[in-house]
Amino acid sequence: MPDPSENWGVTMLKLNRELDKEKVLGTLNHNRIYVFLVIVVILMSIGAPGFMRSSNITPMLKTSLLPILVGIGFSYVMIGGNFDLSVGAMINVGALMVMGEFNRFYAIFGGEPAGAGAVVGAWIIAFLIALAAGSFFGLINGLLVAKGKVHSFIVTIGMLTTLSGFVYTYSKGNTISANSYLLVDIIEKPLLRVPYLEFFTMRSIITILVLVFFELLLVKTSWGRGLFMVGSNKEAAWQAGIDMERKLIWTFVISGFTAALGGILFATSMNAAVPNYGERGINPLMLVLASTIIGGTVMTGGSGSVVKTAVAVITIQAIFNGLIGMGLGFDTQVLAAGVLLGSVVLYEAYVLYKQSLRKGERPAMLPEAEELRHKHRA
Amino acid sequence: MSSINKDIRKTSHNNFTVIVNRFGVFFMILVLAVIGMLVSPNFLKASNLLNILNAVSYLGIVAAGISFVIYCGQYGDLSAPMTMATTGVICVEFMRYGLWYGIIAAMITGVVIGLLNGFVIGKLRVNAIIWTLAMNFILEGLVRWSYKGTQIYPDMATEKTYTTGFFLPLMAKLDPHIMELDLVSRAAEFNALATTYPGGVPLVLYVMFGVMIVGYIIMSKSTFGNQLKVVGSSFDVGKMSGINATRTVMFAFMMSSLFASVAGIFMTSLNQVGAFYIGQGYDFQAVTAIILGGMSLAGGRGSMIGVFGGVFTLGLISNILTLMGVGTFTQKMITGAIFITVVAVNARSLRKLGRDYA
Repeated sequence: MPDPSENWGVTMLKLNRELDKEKVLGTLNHNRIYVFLVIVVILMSIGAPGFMRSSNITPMLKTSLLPILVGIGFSYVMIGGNFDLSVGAMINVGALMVMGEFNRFYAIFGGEPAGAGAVVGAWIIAFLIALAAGSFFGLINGLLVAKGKVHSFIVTIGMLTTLSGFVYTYSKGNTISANSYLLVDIIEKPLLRVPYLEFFTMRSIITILVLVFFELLLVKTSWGRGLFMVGSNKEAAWQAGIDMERKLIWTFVISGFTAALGGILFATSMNAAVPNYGERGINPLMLVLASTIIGGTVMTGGSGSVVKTAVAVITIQAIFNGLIGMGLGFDTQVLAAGVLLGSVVLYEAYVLYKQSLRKGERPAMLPEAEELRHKHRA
Repeated sequence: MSSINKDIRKTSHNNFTVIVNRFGVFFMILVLAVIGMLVSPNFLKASNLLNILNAVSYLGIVAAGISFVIYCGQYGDLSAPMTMATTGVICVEFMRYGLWYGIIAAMITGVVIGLLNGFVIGKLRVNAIIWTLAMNFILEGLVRWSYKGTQIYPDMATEKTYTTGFFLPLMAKLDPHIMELDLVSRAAEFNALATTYPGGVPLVLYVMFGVMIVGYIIMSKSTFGNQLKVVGSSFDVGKMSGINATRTVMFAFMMSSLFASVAGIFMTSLNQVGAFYIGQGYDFQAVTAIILGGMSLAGGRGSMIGVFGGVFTLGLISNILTLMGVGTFTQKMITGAIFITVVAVNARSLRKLGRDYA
C-alpha cells in the first residue's frame, strides 16, 4: 500500500506547478500587447527595409495620434460596459467645428489686419466651442444610455447618423480650411531636430499629456476604480453606493471630448477639415475598436487600460506601415486590420466561453481541498 | 393545463402602452400621410406611392432579415452592408455562367456568412455588435483585397482583374475559358433584374412582399418562431426549456444574411456595378425601421407587420422631406433625431411595462 503522505506531496506539487503556470500565462495574457508590439516591430524590421528609419517611424507615430486620443474615450466607455459607435462622427464634428468657428471669429476679430491677437483669440474660442460640442453630444449619448435606459448601441448609432448629417450640413459638403497658418506652424514643428525625437511636436505632447491624465484618473483615483466596478458588476457597484448613472454619463462625455480633441488636433495639423474623413479608407471606428480589444479591454466591461489601447494603436499602425514597406497595397491593410480584429474577438470570446464552462470552480481552492481530504484520510 | 398549451405570442395586456407599441407606427403613417397631403397635391397619386415603396423595397428586404436577429435578442446585424456587397460581387462573378448560377452562388455565400455569424454568436456568446462589426470589416477587406479596390462591371472583364486578387485568379485557374464566355448578353439579363416591371410594379417590390410574408409566417405562425421568441426573451430560459438555442440564433443570423444577399443582388443589378461600397448605411436604416416598427431590442417582441410599417414610415419621411425641398444631409440628420426620440419614448413605455433596456 503506497504511503498517502507521499501521494499528497506529489499532488500538491503538481497543483502548485499548474497554478504557477496559470499565473505566468495570465500575466503574459495581461501584458500581451507589449509582447505583440515587440514581435511586430522585429518582424517588420526584418521584412520591410527601412522600417526602423527615423523618417519612417516619425510619421507612423504621428498617424497614431488621432486613434490614440479617440481610443481613450472608447476604452472608458467600454470599461463601463457600453459602446460608443459615434466616435467617427465625433472626430468630424471636432475637426469641422474648430475650422469653421475659427474662420467665423477670425473674421469678427478683424482678420489679417488685426494681427496675432485676433488669431490667438479666435483659436482659443474655436477650440472651446469644438470641445464643448463634442462633450455635449457625448452628454446626450450618456443621458440616453444611463437615464433613458436605451441600449448604448442604438443611441450611438443614431447619434452617428445624426452627426454625419450635421457635419455635412455644417460644412455644406466642402472642405473647410483655416484662413491663418500661424497655428499649424507651431503645432506641427518638431521641438528637437534629432532623429527619432522629431516625433515630439506640440500635438504629440498634448496627446501624451491627455493620455497620462486619463490613465491616472482610471488607475489612481477612487473614481476610476469605481468605474471598473460599475463595468464588471452593476449590482455590486450599486450596493457599494457608487453613483452608477453619473459615472456612465461621464464616460460618454469623456468619449465625446477625446474624439473631438482628436479631430481638432488632426484638423489643425492639416489646417483643413473634410466632412467625410473615415468614409474612404480605414474606418477610425474599426481601428479604435480593434486596438481597444487587442489592448486587453474586456468586451463585457470591467477591465481595461487606456495606455494599453494606445500601445495597440501603435502596433496596428506598425503592421500597416510594415505592409506598405513590403510593397503591399492599401487594400491589404484593410484586410489585415479586419482579420486582426476578427481573430482577437474570436480569441477573447473563446477564453470567455472556456471561463463560462468553468464557472463556479475555484482552482485556487484546490490545494486546500486536497489538504482537507488528506487530513480526513489520515 | 390549457395555459401551458397556449400560444405565448397571443398573450396580451389590454394596456394603452402596449397598443401604442404595437400600432404606434401606423398612427405615425396616418399623421405623415396627412402632412404629405398638405405639403403637396401630388403626394397621394398612385405613382408617388409606388415610388415610395420602390425606394424602400431594398431596405425592406434587409430589414425583414435583420428583424429576425433583433427578435432573437441579438441587437442587430452590422455585417449586412458588406454581406450585400460581397454577395453582389459573387453574383456578378458567377452570372457569366448564367443568371441563376449567379443568384444561387450569391445566396449560398449569404447563408455561409450568416451561419458563421450565428455560430460565433450563438455558441461562443460573443456580443453580436462587436462580432458582426468585425465580420463587416473582414468582408470589406476581402472584397477590396480581391479586387484591388476596383469595381467590377457585369459586362466587362479585364485581363488585370484575372491576375490580381484571390477569387478571380482561382476561377481563371479552374476554368481557363472564363474570358471567352459571352458576357454582354448575360450582363444585360442581370442588369434588367432591377428594372423589370411585371404588371407595372417593379420586380423588387414583389420580392420584398414575398420575403416579408415568408418572414411573417416563420416568425409568427411556425413553431420555430415560437422558439425564436423564447430564446429572444431570455437565452438561458430557452436553453433550459430544451430549445437548441445555438441553432436558433444561427437560424436568425442565417435569415438575416440570406435576405441581405437577396437585397445585395438587386442593389448590384440596380447600380450595374459590384463594389465594396454597395449597401453602405443599410444596417442603421434597417435597425431604425425595425425599432420604429415596434420591435423591442430586448428581443421577443414585435412582428413583421410592424417592420413593414417602419420601413414604409422611413420612405414617407424621406419622400415628404424631398417634396418640401429639404436636402439629403439634413434629411439624414432629421431621420437620426426622429430615431433617437422614438427609441427613447419606446424605452420609457417599456419601462412602464416593467421591462428594462429597450
